[in-house]
Amino acid sequence: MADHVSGEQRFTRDPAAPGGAATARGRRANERNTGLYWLFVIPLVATLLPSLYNKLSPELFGIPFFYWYQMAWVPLTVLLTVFVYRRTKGDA
Amino acid sequence: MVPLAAINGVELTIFVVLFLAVSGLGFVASRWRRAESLDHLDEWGLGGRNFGAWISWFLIGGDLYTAYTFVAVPALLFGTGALGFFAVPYTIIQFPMAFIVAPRLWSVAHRHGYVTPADFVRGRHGSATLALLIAITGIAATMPYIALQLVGIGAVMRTIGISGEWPLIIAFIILAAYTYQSGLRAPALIAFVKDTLIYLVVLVAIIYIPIKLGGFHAIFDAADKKFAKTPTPPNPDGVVLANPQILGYSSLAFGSALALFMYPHAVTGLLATRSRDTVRKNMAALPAYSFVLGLLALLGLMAIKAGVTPLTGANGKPDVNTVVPLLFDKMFPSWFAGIAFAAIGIGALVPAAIMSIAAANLFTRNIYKEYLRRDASPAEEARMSRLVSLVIKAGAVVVILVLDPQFSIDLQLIGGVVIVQTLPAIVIGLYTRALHAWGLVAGWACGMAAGLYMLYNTPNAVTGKTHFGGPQYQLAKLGFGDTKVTIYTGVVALALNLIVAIVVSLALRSRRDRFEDRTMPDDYVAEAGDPGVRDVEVAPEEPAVPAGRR
Repeated sequence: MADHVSGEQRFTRDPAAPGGAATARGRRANERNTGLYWLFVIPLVATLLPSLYNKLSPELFGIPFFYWYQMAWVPLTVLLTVFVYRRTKGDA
Repeated sequence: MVPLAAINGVELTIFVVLFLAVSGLGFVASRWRRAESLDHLDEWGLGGRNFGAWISWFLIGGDLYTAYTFVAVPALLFGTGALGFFAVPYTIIQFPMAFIVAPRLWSVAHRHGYVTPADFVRGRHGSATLALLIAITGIAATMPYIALQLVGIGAVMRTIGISGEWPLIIAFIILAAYTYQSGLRAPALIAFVKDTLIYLVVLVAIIYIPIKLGGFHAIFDAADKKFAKTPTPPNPDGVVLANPQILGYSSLAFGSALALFMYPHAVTGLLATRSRDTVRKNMAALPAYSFVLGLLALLGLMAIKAGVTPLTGANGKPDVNTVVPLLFDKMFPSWFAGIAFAAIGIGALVPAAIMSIAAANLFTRNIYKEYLRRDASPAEEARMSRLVSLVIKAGAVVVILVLDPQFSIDLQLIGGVVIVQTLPAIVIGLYTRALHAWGLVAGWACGMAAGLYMLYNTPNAVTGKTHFGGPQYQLAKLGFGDTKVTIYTGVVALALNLIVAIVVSLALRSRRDRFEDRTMPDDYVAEAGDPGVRDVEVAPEEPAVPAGRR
């Protein structure tokens, strides 16, 4: 236990470990397909250009377009981000 | 002194019972996932750096969507209509952006044991001065935010019918005691209760209230009529945006999204997670809270239809923050209104606890240890942080009691503009060291000065204030001719900050190596749990092992 040491002191390389001095605490995350991050431009453009949705109709359950359109982007963004998360996740 | 007849006994009883139950939970939390001792900042200040995906989702969600948000966003819609809805796009887009950036911060902090954003800046840019500026900025932006949580509780108290200040003081003493005792574990545990209550209340409210008010169509009609009555310029209101508001709306959403993860309490939530993968999962799942926020925002418009009149605040002006509590009071039976009030009250406790922990950590790590006691042991650090968290909360109470609450709201407004000035050092620093430490300092200073000047130079015709009237700056004042278009002040100040940082860095190109970078490229993509590496025990008096030194 090294709970009484802090910060930089707590993590040091173990020369005896496989890979020796080249390894530090933690392993390298092997995320892939990071080009998929560009998909995030979609919700950014869709929600940051109010000219696209700044109007009253069509209504949904009596709610003007302005409001339900932006709300709809919440689940859409969650789905998109989960998709990107899965596709970019490396093997454990 | 309190006129007893005015107090709603049922609401008060339910509020007090739930509040006390949650406080008990806060004290018990010190034994939850128990560490050998809390004598280390990683334990007290980061809950052992071991929260999994579910706990983190509740913790970070409870951290970012504060009681003030729940009260202030609907109040904004009540007052100005569509403009207040910026909170929805703001909270939608922040997570995809953080999904890319936050894992890098987690990884480098994990490798080097960083506790605060300023720790990272110190390690990456090698400048104690820059780290100090980042730490001070963080503390300055967080303090009014804590005070505002009290405004949320205060709005609820006044609606129940209690006008004195003692309930606020008692609430914060309890909060301070269990935060001192349990550290980050307390808000993590309470966040479960808070969010369950909030979700319950919002779901009931969004179905029950519109039915009682005759449907959404009637609600928006009433809002439209109200906004049509008030003359629009220079501060337009309405059910949709007026044309000059469009740039202001999107720049406010964008700038706020950039600012959010620069707040120290957001970083605390991130660094308390177990793994890089946990961070990524959370950034994918957290926008779900935005849906609740959007529904809550609509409550502001429902309050118009319901004919709610804000209570008069301590300063003699109508306090729009009481709109949502009053709506609940009016529409719900007393027992459910009590639950709703408890949800808001408890909602204030989670972020207030995390914010005070984050600010205390900044003070301890980047001021106390850096400048006052370089050889402070981890146990001393933890002790210091616990004490400072008490001081910070006491300060927040004093600020609310002594100064006009409007002052805290102004400060919080300033806070967003101020905290986003730390973005170049943190976010750009996570990718490249192309910006020189002195360039970052110069950029920070210019962005800060310009931001504060613009805020000072913003009058508000509706409230009659001549300074600090709002976060929108007129393009006309920036030399764009005769136009009513406004833009979020923070974005303008950040642009200036970046330009100055780049120019100064170019001028200092040849002097780059004067500051040491303790991190390695590999650090930014590290994941937890490499079996080949162990935590090495180092006696405190030994010199620091230069873990990431080239």
